[in-house]
Amino acid sequence: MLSSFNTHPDWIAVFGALGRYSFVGGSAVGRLHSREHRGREDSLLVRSKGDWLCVAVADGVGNAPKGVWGSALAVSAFTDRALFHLPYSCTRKVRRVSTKGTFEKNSVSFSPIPGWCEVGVLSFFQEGEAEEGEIPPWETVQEYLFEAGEYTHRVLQDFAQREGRDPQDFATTLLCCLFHVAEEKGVFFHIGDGALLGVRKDGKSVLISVQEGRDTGEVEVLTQPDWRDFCRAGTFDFRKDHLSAFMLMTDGLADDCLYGPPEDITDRFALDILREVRATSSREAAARRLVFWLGTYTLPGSFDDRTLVVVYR
Amino acid sequence: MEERIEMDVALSQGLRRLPVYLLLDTSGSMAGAPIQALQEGVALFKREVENDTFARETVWVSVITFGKEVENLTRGLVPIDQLTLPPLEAGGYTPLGQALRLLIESLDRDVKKAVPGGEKGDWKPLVFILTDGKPTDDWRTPREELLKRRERKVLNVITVGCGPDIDEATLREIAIGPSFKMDSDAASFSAFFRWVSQTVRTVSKTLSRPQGQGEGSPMSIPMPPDVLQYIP
Repeated sequence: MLSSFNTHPDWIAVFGALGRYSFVGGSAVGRLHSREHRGREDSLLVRSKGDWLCVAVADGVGNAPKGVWGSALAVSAFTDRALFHLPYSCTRKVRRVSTKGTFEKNSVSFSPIPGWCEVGVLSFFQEGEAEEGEIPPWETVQEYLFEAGEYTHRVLQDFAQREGRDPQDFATTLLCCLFHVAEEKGVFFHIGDGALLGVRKDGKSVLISVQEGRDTGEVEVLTQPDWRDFCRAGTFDFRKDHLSAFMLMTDGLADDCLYGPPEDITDRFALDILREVRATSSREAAARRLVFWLGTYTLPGSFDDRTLVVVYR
Repeated sequence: MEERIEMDVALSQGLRRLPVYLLLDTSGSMAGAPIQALQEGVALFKREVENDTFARETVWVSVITFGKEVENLTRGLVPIDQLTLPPLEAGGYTPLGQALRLLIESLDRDVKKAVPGGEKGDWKPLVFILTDGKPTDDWRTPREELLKRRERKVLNVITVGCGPDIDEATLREIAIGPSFKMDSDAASFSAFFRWVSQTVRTVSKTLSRPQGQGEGSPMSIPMPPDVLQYIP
């Protein structure tokens, strides 16, 4: 009898579309975890509600014994709560967007109980007839995200208590972006490292959110008691900022593309990723290529899990 | 036509290093077998770190000796495979203060800070101080500076006293971070450097998760060998 199994695969790819926006992403185990047979500790999740696209990536802290649970719980609980507050707000005819490949077969619940599986994309909920509501002011959406942060922090604490463990055993970073595809505006919540990167139409990249002002070797996590002092939130405007894409990534990749030399590495990286994704015949193929690349490129000193989600028009 | 799977994406050419500093006492009291054991210990450290895939890629070393002269033998940080030491000579007093000042100079000059959009910074430096006697110069001022950095969690320091001339009170006074005491025989030096190698290799694996080096959750160091007695 199969009594337990790893439901957090070493590689996972996600892809889909909402309105005029497409997304492709992937998460791959790092060299070190792979060699030590520890599995991937990053998690990612893409969800939606009406015109809201919600993307979350998290990095379970490697020295925390249950970092993988931390990151998986964080992306699930946070996106669940963030979307819960939002009105449906759909400006177009509702249609189901398929999530092909293995993802369709996955079932999901929001508690890490036996049978819990990581899914890259959750099927869109509230399909069909739904009550529409106005988009709340953006400041209010930001408040929803802080509240989702509070909720997720509690979920992690409660889970740790149930397991008889220290909450820091589930230490995780979290970067989540709520993007309204009709308004073309986004709101983000971010604690810890990793980055939210915008790519402008002129080819220049812009760091929308990145951990700054901390010495190398320090990272803040959602499980720490003073997490509120370190989380960041903000908005971005896809049209006004002249963006053509934005990307969410964990530090395993951010460390390899945000720092030089060369000086213009971030611009070059972002343009290369976009070019490769757009040049691929389908979103599914692009996601497969992306996760293959994430899981196989080698750089000296780059050992960590790597996660990237690209949202583009 | 089948689509190619590979992607052509530019990535950073920078390297995030793990700086490791060895501050080694070469005062007169180390003459004879201890200085020989010290030399062999450094060679052992190099071999063991080089044999680890992850450590080999990230560990850069600086060796500062303090005795008759106070010298940074490596002139800053060098990759582990380029670590070569001249024959060590024992002599003079124990100018720990000067060695600590040299360490601070190198930390300020050689350890890089991360700047998003700029250079990839280094990981938190790891410093091992090995001494066999009471310091003979002003060591309190540079120690205070290093303690501040340690409190800011930008530095990890382990202090080890060796031999019969160092008592626990002295060790506690000079210690920056966890401190240990050991004998000054060849077996103790060998065990010490093997443990230093293991610590460096362990830290090099946890540094992708920097909290592994933080104060909140203790630096991931392997259990010290029996020859090292922890001084609370």
